[in-house]
Amino acid sequence: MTPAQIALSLLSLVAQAAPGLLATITGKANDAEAIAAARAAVAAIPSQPITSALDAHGRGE
Amino acid sequence: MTRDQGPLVPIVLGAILYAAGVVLSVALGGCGSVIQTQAHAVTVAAVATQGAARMSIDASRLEAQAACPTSAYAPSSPEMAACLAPLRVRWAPAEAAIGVTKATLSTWIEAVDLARIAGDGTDLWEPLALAASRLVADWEALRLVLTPLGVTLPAMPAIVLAAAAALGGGQ
Repeated sequence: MTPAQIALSLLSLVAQAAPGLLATITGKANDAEAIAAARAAVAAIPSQPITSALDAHGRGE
Repeated sequence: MTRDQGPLVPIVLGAILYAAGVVLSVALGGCGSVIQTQAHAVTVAAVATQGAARMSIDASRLEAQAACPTSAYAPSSPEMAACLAPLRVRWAPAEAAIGVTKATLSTWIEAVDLARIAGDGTDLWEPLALAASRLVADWEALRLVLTPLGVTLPAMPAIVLAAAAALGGGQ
């Protein structure tokens, strides 16, 4: 894995949490917003990630 | 990337995952209502699970590239499919564990929302505690499944364990 790929992984993780972090830091978070941020983070967990990865390799991608 | 670089990937990504969890824990911990604390715990656990999924993707792709290189197997050929079949079997428990963890996180956040809507004086904390307890167990199961596959997950960030323990569901 190259440094660029590692940096992208880190950026991606930070981006996923950015809305919740921003709301918290600015004091604008409320219960509903915190729940919405959590729902978005859960939805971002890929479904069947390994099958998709192996399928892509099988197609030569 | 060659298979020789494989061990470096889990180490580096594990460090990134752990750092992200620590940063989120510090940023989100100890603020807001009980509902917000629970929601933030779900967010942190979900980001950690995303990291576990990414690590699994990278590790399985590396294994596929080593075992079934496109230089030896034509893409989309029956030979390539046959070569990949054992890898699919080998990684199936990991994929199932990620799916179970995602389902538990979904259950947990829906229970949090239900408790928010119902408000105080209701008896909706038990399903919330059950979901939190399941998440802690699911993460340990995911760690156990991934370790033999060369993917080392860090411990779940403390904010998640604290949120689960606060409901009587942790440890």
